[in-house]
Amino acid sequence: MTMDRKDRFSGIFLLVLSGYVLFESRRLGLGYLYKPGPGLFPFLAGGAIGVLALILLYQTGWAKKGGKEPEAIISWRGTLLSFLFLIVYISLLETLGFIPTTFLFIAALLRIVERKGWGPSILTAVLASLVAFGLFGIILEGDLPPGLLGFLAG
Amino acid sequence: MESIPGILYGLSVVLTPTNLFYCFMGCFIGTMVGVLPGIGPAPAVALLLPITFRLDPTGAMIMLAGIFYGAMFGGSTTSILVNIPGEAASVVTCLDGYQMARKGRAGPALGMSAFGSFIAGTLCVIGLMFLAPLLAEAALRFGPPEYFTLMVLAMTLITYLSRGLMVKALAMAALGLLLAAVGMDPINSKPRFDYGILSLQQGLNLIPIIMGLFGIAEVVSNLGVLVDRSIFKTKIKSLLPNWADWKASILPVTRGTILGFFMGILPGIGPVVPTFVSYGLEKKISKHPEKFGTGVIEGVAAPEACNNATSVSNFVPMLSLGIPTNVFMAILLGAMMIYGIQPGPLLIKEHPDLFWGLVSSMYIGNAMLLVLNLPLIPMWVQLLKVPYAYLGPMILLFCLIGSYTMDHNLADVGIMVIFGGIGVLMRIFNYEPAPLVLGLVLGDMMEDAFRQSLILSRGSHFIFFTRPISGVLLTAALLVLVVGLFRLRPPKRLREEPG
Repeated sequence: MTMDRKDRFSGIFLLVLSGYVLFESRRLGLGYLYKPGPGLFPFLAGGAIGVLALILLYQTGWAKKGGKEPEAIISWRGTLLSFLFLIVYISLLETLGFIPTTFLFIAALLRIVERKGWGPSILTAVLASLVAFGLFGIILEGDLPPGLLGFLAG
Repeated sequence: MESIPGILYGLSVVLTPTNLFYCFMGCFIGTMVGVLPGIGPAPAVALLLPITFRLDPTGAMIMLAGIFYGAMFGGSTTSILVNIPGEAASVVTCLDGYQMARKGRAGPALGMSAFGSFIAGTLCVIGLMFLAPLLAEAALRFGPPEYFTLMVLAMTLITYLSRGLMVKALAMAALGLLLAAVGMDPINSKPRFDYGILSLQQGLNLIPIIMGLFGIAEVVSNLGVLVDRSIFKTKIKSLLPNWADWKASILPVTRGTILGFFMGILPGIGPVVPTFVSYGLEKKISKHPEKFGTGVIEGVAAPEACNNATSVSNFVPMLSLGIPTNVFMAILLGAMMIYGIQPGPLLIKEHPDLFWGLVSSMYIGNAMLLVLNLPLIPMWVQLLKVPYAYLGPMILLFCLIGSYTMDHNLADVGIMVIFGGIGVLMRIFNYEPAPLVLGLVLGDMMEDAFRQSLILSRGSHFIFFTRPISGVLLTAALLVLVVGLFRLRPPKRLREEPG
């Protein structure tokens, strides 16, 4: 997607968002100007977003843009996999416990996303999970979930 | 409290083993963060905030401040050695610093950068010491309308000087304000935008959002992408600049300091623009401008002094008025509120130990940085050699632990990851996270000030214009808005680094 199309896309998204916020804020109650209700400030903020979205769409549609904006270089595979692993981490953390979950997380990131060998991945994962547990769980008393290894924590 | 007794009191607060240790940790971590490209002081501080909750507020602030000006120190190391700025503020240092390194003069470049930063930092703390209480005193005459318009002006200035289109930055700021509204309404205690979810009823927590937007988004965008970083193989012989270097640098350092101090007080300016101005100034008034870019020490000394000066003066509005000048200050502000400290002009009066302790710690911190940086430079260079493939996952892990240990609530971790996703989307569509953070931090305060103003004026929104100070501020804000929105691009090509 070119920058202009991206801006158009995000502009429309913001416009829709703003519409939704305006609707919700009115439901919360705008109150009166001398007795502002809970919905007033969000209404104004939502309205501002809407106006700005319109200006953005105008600027991308008709006016000439000032210059190119920097493009972000992203590896889709890496990014999506990382998010997947993050979500899995959250789901497993309290059941499996800190050390096993962290081990799996780091190993997965290194092996699958960064494509490092089995050796370095496993070794780093072991070190990282143990050191992190030692530092944050024991020294800083972070109270990390022991999970399956609960019998070790004593 | 007067300034001189204040400083003595502050020293008594700082010169305890615990606070000195926090100061040291702050400077150390700050330098490290400054050296590593890709992670700036804002995400670093977000990562460390959960740990600082165990500390007392003064100690925590001392450490966090140390990270900020420490990062300015550290950023120059990679600029000079590797031609990669560790911080956006060190971009200019690359120009002459790297050239000096190529000529075998990396040592004096690093040394003069450290000395210049030290001199600038120390002088500016003196400035801060006198200026902040004065400003706070003046601001006590501010009422809710003045506060509101001041915050509006700060936000417009910051969005004006952001990279990319101002429209987008403003939209992010407004979005931040909106997100701040999620949770309990401060006046009526009715839940807003909570959709029945308990976690949302308490409002969105600042820290997971920042960790997500800056930490998670940054790392996740970079994982899997190959980045080449070659370190300049040079032997650093002597770190001490010679007499000729000193003679050439002393005036540039002074000019850089003064420039940086005054520019740093204004919200939105950040350290990048002043360093460019400083470099440009030195080149213009130099007797040999054509030599700039080939490795002249003034091209290193002045910008480095300048960026350290801004890092100190950036604190002035935050501590005296409760107005953040950049995203880092916004995070510190959020942290203070979490510690239960109300920022604003009463801060100095109500928490003298915090203010004077913090200011005194800056003197000591600057000295520590000087002593730290010079011998530890070879170590920092080693750190650069750790491949990002390993560093990235560690940062993610850090974020996960940090957000989890705040409240042992997986919801916080979830919010962090969600905002990580939002952060990645923002990168793709070219929106900046910094204005959003600003809106989020200022949101509650702004809404409070806004509603109180309306109650005061009994519903008349003209109050913002009729009260003189407020009127001036609002007019200034409107001017900035008009110029920014309809000119499409701010005048300077280079803008503040968001984080």
